[in-house]
Amino acid sequence: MRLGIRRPVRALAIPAVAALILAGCSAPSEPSGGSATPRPGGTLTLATDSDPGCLDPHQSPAAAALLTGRGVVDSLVAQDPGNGALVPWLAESWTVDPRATAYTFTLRTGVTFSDGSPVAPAAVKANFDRIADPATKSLLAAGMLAGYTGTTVSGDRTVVVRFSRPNAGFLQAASTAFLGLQAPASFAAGPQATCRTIVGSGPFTVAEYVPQQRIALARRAGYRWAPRFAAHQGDAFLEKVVVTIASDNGVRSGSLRSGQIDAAGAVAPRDAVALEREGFPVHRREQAGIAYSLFVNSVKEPWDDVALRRAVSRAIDTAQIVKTLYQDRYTRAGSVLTPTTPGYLATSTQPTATEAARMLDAAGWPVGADGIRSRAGKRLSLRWSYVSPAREQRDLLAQLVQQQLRAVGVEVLLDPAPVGDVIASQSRGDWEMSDISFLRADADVLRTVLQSSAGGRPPIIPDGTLADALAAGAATTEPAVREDSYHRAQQRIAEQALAIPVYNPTYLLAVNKAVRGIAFDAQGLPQFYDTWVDR
Amino acid sequence: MTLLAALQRRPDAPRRRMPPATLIGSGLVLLTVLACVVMPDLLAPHPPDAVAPDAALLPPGHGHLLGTDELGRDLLSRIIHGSRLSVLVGAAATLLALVAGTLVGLVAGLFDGAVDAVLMRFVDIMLAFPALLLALGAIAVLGSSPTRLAIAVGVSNIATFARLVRGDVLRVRTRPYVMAATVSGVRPAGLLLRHVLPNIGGPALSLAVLGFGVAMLESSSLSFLGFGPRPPAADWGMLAAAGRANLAEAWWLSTFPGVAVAITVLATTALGRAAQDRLAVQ
Repeated sequence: MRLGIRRPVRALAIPAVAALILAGCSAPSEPSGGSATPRPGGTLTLATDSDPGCLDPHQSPAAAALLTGRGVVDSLVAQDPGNGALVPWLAESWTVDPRATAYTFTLRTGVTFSDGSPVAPAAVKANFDRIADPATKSLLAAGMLAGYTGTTVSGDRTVVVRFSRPNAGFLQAASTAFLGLQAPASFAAGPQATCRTIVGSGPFTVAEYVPQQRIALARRAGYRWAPRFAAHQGDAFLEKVVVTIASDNGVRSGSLRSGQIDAAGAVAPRDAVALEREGFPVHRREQAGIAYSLFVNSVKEPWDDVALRRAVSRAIDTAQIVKTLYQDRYTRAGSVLTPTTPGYLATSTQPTATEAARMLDAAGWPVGADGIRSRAGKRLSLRWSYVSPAREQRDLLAQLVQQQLRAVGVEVLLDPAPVGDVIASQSRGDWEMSDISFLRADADVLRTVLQSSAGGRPPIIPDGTLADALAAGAATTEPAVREDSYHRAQQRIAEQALAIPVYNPTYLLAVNKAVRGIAFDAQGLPQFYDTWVDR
Repeated sequence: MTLLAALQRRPDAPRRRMPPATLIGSGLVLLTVLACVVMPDLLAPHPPDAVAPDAALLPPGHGHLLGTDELGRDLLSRIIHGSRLSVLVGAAATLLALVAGTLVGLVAGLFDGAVDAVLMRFVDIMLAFPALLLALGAIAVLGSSPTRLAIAVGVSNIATFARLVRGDVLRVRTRPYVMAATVSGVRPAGLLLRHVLPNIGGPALSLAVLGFGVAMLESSSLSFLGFGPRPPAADWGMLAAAGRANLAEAWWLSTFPGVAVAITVLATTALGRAAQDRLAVQ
């Protein structure tokens, strides 16, 4: 059967039949308030803001690739979005050596990819070998396998993944779709082929991908290995999930209002306020990883003076930012990590412009005639090259920060630039102020993004104490030791004002009232395995 | 609208005089814009960059004649301050196109043969591309700043001026007084300055007035696409672009900068047409 989203008759018939069958074995549904019992069948149409460009999470670093990829590929372990704990998924159990260099996984039995081939140790090896292979041109996943030396198959259920140096972040990384398992047979046609379609062991399969338009996922029959925190086991409820791409915020919320789509993803906060008012449920989840933060280059004169950096961090009124630009739908960041990231420690202090001005006075930078501070003829200024066009109104945020800092006599020179230019200047170390947020539910993200160039956009923080704390966290899988290391890292960042956390990026998903069972994964992206449509 | 389209008029179209009210209205619009360019600080009710988060996205009225943007900045003040960038970029671009185009046209018209053929084929190639596309190409090479914006837009309009001036030079060259001057031994420079330029200046200048409107439109389009000045400064194209994100809730953000561009271009075009009717050789 062709997946015809323009054939309502067939699409409606199946849920109707399914509903009849279900009605026979479950409690009668409530007539008006809708059924509380999930009803299988139906199609969910979701509009999202960006096209992943490549569907394959092994290659693409895009969050958009995770949104669809998570439904198609399963991972060795799963991260419980409730508490961040790592629980069995395709691996039944695992052990880690004390140095975090060898991970032994025992695979669950009876699991198959949607092409029928078994999820066997050889498949695990084929996946990791492929990601680490430079020919795959992996932009993010390969960085998660830093130090990978190989996978050994031992027995028919056991694999050992080895690293040349400690990689404690690997277990969490293995829970993401970036390191999800795909059917090895699909690798044969080369990396380009898996950009167009991926084959995994997940509850959905890729039915259609039209770049820049839509991605259609179809339910896979016989799915029996959902992670234990899922709301149900067995096949997904939805027969089909169609993700359409509409980059314009207004188009997404307008399509939801008009009933063309069932769910609007990545809703702008202002639209969310309006949609809530009109009665559309808006689900929100703070994303895990690095909060949207500003960085002041601590090796550039005069910003190597910690007093100046502290003053700047006190002068930026984050409460005003989240209220003005995000209608308080996003929250103020409490640390360089977001609260949903395991290892989070609140470090932020209350912003105060008067205190910031006093600190700048004390540091010996008097206010000049034009309101900008200067010393020995040098103006106290920060050049800030940021990516434009920007998402989440970050261009306006930059202008607001510019005015907030101007109020205490610090000049910010804004330089909106294409993403390539921003990356280039940061790679050269030629930056004074920078901004970043990063999606990942493990504190090791601080090391991979801020200490190496693996993240792609590196505002690298050169600080020995920080590097030691992050290395300690990466060298063990002992939760208590890791937590302590990351607390120290966050304290160091706050104390030295190496980063100025601004807001917690938050996924806002507006749905129509018939959509039930929306869940978010540990990274903070919506998942549709438990979702059903009540109509 | 391209400059070429502005230049071309259907030959059979009846020539109607512009009603005086249109001319007076256009003049008043341009005077107002000029006043904004010269003394924005006196005319703007608020500083253009002063943020007021509590007054964000206020609709027109409420002490802000044209409303406020997402950061509570007064839109009228930003439009008034933005006029300087928009108008100066348009004017600089037109001046560049006029001077360079006239030079190319003069050289091509005076030295016929190979020089003419080569120059005019270049002009043909430039005319084959839409001006906006040329300007985009130039911006891609030069990078974006108001100066470069003016250069890009100016360069993209050189060909139109060159074509017009060359045609006029060819026409004037064969006039008896020019031939008489040539015969009586006037040197080429003198011939050019005293006899050719004064007689082709009219059409070129009236085209420049039209061209100014087109250049402003083009530079606004480029700013709209993100090649404008650095924030927080904003010209009209940038202001219109910035309003797009919240068009559903705040219609005024994109509308008024767009209206500012539109009426300025229309007023310039009306005056340019009138000048063309007066000055152009029938």
